[in-house]
Amino acid sequence: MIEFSNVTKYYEDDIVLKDVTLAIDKGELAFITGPSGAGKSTLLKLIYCDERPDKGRIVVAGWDIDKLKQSTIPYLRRNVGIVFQDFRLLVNRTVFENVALALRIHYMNTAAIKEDVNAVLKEVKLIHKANTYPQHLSGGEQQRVVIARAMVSKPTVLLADEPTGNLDIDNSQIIMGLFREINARGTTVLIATHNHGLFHGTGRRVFFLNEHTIEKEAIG
Amino acid sequence: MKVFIYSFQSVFRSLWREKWINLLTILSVSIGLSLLTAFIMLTLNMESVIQRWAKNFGLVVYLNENISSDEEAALKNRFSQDSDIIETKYISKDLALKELSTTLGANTLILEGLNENPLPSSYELTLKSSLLAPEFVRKKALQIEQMKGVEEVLYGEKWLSSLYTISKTMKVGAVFIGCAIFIAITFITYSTIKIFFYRRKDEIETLKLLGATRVFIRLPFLLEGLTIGLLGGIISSLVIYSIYSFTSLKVIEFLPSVRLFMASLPFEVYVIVPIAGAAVSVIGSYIAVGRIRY
Ligand SMILES: Nc1ncnc2c1ncn2[C@@H]1O[C@H](COP(=O)(O)OP(=O)(O)OP(=O)(O)O)[C@@H](O)[C@H]1O
Ligand SMILES: [Mg+2]
Repeated sequence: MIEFSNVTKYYEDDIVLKDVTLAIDKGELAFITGPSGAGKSTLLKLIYCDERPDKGRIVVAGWDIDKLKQSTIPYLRRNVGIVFQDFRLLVNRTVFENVALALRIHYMNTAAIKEDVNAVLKEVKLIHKANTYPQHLSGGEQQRVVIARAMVSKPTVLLADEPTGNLDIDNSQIIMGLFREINARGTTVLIATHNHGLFHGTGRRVFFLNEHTIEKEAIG
Repeated sequence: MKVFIYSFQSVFRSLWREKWINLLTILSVSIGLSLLTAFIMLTLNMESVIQRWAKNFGLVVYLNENISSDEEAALKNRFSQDSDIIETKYISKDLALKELSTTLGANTLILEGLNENPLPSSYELTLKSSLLAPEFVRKKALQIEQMKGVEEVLYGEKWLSSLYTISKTMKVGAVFIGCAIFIAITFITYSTIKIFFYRRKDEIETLKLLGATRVFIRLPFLLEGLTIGLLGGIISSLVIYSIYSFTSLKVIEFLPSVRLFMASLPFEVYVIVPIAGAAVSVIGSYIAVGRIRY
């Protein structure tokens, strides 16, 4: 589902990723970990074309990223749900509207949007906050809104960048539970985190990113 | 279709949220368009006045004292075959004298002392009004002067060339001012839409990451520009209509001579102005949004 072959990425003259090769299977739930600044976010950005590789080949859900034209990038992104490290919630829109945005870009009709958004808000236990603005929510709640937005369009791939950033263990467990559920429905999930507790004992594959490359691959 | 419905919803939200900037922009656009229309009307009217004057413009061909009737007929024939001349009027010696005495009125006595008619016979030629160019008229006059039996050709040379210059200047001026106003309107919508675009930069960035297409991002801005231009145009049409009806109803009552300067304003103008406003505003918005890169 996600395939990197010898991918190298520079920012100006600084190398961030060097000869990264990895493959994540369809329906898998996997982790990427590594110290801060190792390039985890960059690796995810390469998947959704926010950054382009300098060398190597990336294939996502059958799309060859190299051959992707600017105008087809949106269609790739519609297959990829993203939980951004910096949330990217719109402060002038309610929780409902923030989540609905992911469907509006498909020009889905209002009734269907309402149904889907409410269903997903129930799932992340935020239906009672539907009309609240994001800045009035706790960090854990905001995180769940972002997850709701990423999953509402039922993407084939879900990428989560540091989804438990500064949450306590209970909240982290709630969020991990959500990812397991999304994954159980067939979505391939890739989680970038520096929190080893998140994958410890899950029995899932973990890629260790260090010194610009995949240092090792292990089972969590 | 859904694309448009969705975008229009977003336009109305934005129009309402930013109602003051939008109102200001709409008013500026309508002022610009009103000026443009007023100027076009002025030019058209001046042109029609000039054309009307030019219609009466003619060459007077004075004939030789001893011209034979054959020569006269030959001249008449040549004039009527010349496609640049639309009317040929013969004024005989006697008719000329009669006209002169009518003009003199009570002073006819001056003529009494003459025992012979001193006036030459002549042809009055009316030229096609589209052939107003002074250069052309001069050539024509010279050409006729060379003909057998012609004594002299007279026409209002100074008068003609100043009319011609005025008309030329007005046309060039109209094009310049028209362009200037169009650019101004483009710029007005450009800056307003640019402001909106920058204000929503974060939102647009997020939309792009969520998978929004260029059309999805761009269309609301273009439609907002379109709405602004259209409303501006409609306001401008209403203003022009009011001014026009007011002048035709009231002013003519007091100053009938104004009618001379008022060409009728075709109905199409009221439709064309909003369409032009919308088109120009869409161009402004398009430039403001610019290229969307992923
Ligand atoms: N847009 C950019 N321009 C230049 N350098 C960048 C850019 N984005 C990231 N970097 C640099 O690339 C390196 C990797 O950044 P990245 O965000 O991928 O790390 P990360 O592993 O996600 O770290 P963290 O765990 O803190 O989120 C860092 O040294 C960072 O400073
Ligand atoms: Mg990061």
